[in-house]
Amino acid sequence: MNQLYVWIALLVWIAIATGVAYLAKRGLGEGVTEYFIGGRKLGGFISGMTYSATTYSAFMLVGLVGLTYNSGVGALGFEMTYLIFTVLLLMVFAPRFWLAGRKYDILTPSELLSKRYENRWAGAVSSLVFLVMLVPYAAVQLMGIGFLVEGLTGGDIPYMAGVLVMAGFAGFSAIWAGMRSVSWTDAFQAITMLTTSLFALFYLFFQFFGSPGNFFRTITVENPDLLKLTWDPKLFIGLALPWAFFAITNPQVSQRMFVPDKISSLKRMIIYFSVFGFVYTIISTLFGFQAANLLPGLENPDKAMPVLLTKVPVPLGLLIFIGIFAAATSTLGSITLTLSSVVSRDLVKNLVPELEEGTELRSGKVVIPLLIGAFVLFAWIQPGLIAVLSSMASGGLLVTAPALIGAFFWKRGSGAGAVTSMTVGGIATGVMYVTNIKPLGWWPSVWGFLVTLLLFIVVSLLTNSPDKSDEFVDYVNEELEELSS
Amino acid sequence: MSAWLFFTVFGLLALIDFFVPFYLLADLASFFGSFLFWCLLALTVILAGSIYIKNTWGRGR
Repeated sequence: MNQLYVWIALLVWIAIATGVAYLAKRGLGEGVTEYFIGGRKLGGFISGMTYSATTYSAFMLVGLVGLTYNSGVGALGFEMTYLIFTVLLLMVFAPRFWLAGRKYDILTPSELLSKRYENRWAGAVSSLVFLVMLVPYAAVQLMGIGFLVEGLTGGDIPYMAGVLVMAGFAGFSAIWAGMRSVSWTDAFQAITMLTTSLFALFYLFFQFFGSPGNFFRTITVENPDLLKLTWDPKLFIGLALPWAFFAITNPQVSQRMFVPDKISSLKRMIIYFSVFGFVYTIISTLFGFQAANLLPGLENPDKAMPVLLTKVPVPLGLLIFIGIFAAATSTLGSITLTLSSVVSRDLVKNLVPELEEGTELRSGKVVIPLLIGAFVLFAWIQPGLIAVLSSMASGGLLVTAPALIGAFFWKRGSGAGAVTSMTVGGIATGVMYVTNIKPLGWWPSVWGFLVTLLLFIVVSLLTNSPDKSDEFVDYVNEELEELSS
Repeated sequence: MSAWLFFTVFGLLALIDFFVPFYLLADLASFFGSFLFWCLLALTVILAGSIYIKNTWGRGR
């Protein structure tokens, strides 16, 4: 595809997204709560769309398509498993996060741990885990776009040009007006992602297979192995386990449980996200089956989607490209903003409590370009296959799950238990991933989770629980009962 | 949802999500195998979840 078309499409889309961000910025108030979580005043639709766009990234139309191309229906199972457990976790934890956030003025998941366990190191350690693990995950978004523009233009637009354009826009939208601009542009991006991919999917059905029905028949006859479940069960568990807890362990999405303006908006956020996720997952995997049939023999499965785009008319290819760019940019912008809030609130403010709010906010904004620089550096190094990198990040973040679940369900859970489990579990998981050690064939995420869970329970039982842990848990439970009455 | 109920539902879903496709449907080379199973399981959870949150928390506000 002619690189000029790609540049024009990008510029048009960025201009529209900037206009949306500008409209959002007009309503921006003062302070860190307003900047980082939109003043807890987002409606159900915007909350649902920003949750969806933040969750679903370039991984879907690049990584998941490649995974389906390469390994068939197991990829759908892996992604549906994520969705199933996310819906369950949201049903249980979303109202708890939302209530605790309002009562204790909590901005980030790390701050929730600090306040619940009355231990500032619980917040600081979880912040470090988030920072270390989300850098590769954010870089994956950039890599996805880099591969995409390079593949789409036959190398006329270099990989790093795509990376830099996307990083620049995501950083700009995050720093300009915080959560309001990020969430509004997320909503625009979510709609772009869904409509463009749906349109493209049906175009491919009719253009290359005759009809959707013929597509399903063709795959069944010509690519039957892709419909058999050939995944190693240990691989499936190793990849799916971290994603099953994604809703609470990934701060860029769990922070969104704080943002709806009322409980009815929170409900709508969950329902909109569930429907979006279900449709988008099926679309992404069907692209993978289409690519496997139309483009057999690709050496790099991550290039299945970029090459598929070269088989469709230019306007359609550009539309899909913009949809993927939107998916990646929204995730990157959200991660950037969340990590900046984590640094300013849970590292800087946490360790220097007398810090004024203005200084706290400025420290968060200063961090944004530094984070973007780190993401770009990682994307430049290109450390591995997209799907594996994404899962590794979630595997590392999984070490925060016991402490977060215990925060609401186990009064006996202690600050020492939270800190020890995340520290030792995080180091153990990281070492296993880096050295590629898989004891007994099980993935590092499985061992890391077991170590973390065991340490959290044992250390908590051996140490004192926080003075006000009863108050925290009882408050949330009583409020939930009242909401249900 | 109580802790007991949450962990029970979580565990049961995990077992169904893993064992049915891997040990009952793995060799079925059809969209009516693992593909359909996972889609229906997700749809069931979404529908049940939507009904649950409509009828429980937030009912009074």
